[in-house]
Amino acid sequence: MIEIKNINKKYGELVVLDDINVNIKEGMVTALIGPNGAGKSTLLGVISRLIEADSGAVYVDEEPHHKIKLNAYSKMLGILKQTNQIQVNLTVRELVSFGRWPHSKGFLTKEDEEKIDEAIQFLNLKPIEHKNINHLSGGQRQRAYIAMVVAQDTKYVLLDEPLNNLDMKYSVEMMLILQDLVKKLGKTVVIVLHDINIASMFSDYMILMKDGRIYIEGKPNDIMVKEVLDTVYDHDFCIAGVNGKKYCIYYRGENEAYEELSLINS
Amino acid sequence: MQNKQRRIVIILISLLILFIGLYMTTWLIGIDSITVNQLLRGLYRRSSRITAMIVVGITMGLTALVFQTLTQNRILTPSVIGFDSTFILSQTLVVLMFGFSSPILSNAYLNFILSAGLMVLVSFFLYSTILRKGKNNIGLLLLVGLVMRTLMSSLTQFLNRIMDPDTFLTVTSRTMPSLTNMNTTILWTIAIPIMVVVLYLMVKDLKYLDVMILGEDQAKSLGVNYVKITNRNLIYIAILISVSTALVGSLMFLGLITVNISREILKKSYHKPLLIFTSLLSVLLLVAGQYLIQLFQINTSLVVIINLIGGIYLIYMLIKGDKT
Repeated sequence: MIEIKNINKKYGELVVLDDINVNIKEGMVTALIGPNGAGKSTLLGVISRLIEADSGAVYVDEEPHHKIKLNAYSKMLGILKQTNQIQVNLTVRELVSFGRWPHSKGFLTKEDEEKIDEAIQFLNLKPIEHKNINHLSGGQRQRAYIAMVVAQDTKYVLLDEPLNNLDMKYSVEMMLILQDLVKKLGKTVVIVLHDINIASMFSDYMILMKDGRIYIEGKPNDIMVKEVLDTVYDHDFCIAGVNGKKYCIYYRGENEAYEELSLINS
Repeated sequence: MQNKQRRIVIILISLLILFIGLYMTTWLIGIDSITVNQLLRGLYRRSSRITAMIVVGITMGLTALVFQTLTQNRILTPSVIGFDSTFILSQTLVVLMFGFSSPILSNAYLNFILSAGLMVLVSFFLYSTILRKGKNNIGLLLLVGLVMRTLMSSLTQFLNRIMDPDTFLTVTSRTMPSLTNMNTTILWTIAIPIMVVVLYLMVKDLKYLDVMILGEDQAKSLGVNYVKITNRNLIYIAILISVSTALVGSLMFLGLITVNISREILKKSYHKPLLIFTSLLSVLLLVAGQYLIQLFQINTSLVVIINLIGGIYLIYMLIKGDKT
């Protein structure tokens, strides 16, 4: 479990994280959601040690994370930031093999090669494993980066807005892969998302942030409440449901349009 | 390495051996008689230059390659921080302050240590203040380096204007070291030992730099101590460029040309194969260029030609980059 205790972070006078206390439970997909500037990516950065908090502590498996050695930490927790637009001349397989760096230090063993193969298979990348990543579509490229984190073989997988630039089909495909990471490989996934409907449909737990604070946390259906979303996003929401899961409509127009949609889905 | 790339490496090595052979022997053509001593002296001088070209070629290639990884920018070389400007300013100040006959100028060792040391000190000062204050912001380091470079060049120009013509001539000759007029004793006793050790340390770090091409956050997530490796390599670069500049002058565009040509041929981001290509290309450019200049008795130094080609290549890259 990841325990976050009294985390504070400021950039100059701007408070980005304000006394954050939250636990990330194992074996589930946890979605961090909230409006722009809520502090989601910063919190992910603090957990992964990419950003230093001003005060507070993060415990990973009951150990203070700053006391864990860098290499040991990279074997426990992997993060994928929004950096996959960097132009590098690598094939998919070469990129995925970087995931083994914490274990191999650049000298791949037979076990490393097996893990790379597993990650490539898991993400359905076998047909394109020798393709240059610069020649891939956005979805394939994103899958290749996720495969790298899978090859890293960490217990915790953190992803910062991995659905950016992906269309609906690829977004859903990506979320199903992340669910499989939990179900089939026993990972714990923490994901920063902007699309609250995707978060509601595919995550097991949601943490809703606003102005650097945790506003509410819980199961998706407990978070997808009109009053909650209206307050956090400062917007008028309409909540509907499909197969027992709630989703929201945030089209801003005439009130009649909302009422009409509510009627259709009721 | 693919077959095509292997073929290119073999061609480069063959060309290099050919030009080294030509450079070492063609000066003997037309000489009717020569004593053993003269022959040995001639060969020693040429083999020293070849050695310098090999070490300097590898240095320029490796430093440019690593610098581009650290800055995540393909059109930069370490010279943007202003090593050559520091060198020229230091020589100008020495002549102005101590005169032509000062031991600082006449003693080659003292002069070399002073100019190389000053360049290292200036870059360390830049690194320690800018990187610490800017929280390891490489972009800020480049900007301040660029400003410092312009400032030092302007200061040198100002000093040139106020000095008398004789002093100006001395300064000009002091600030134009080249592969042909370098001090071979300094090459063997100080420059090569330092450069070989630092080159070895840099090559050891290449595996980390491979991961660092993925960007700072990803490299850190994979367990690479990004800041430590960056700072360490910036120091290595400062030492190598300072020693090389004090020895043979500024070759600011050599690394830029060869690293980018290597990237185009290899289509890979891994550092080791890039280093092999870059080094071979750099050394070949230096040796072949030096030989051709002597063969056709062109009245200019190789550095000027390389910088001219490099400048045009840089403009080409900028236009190409702009279009894409």
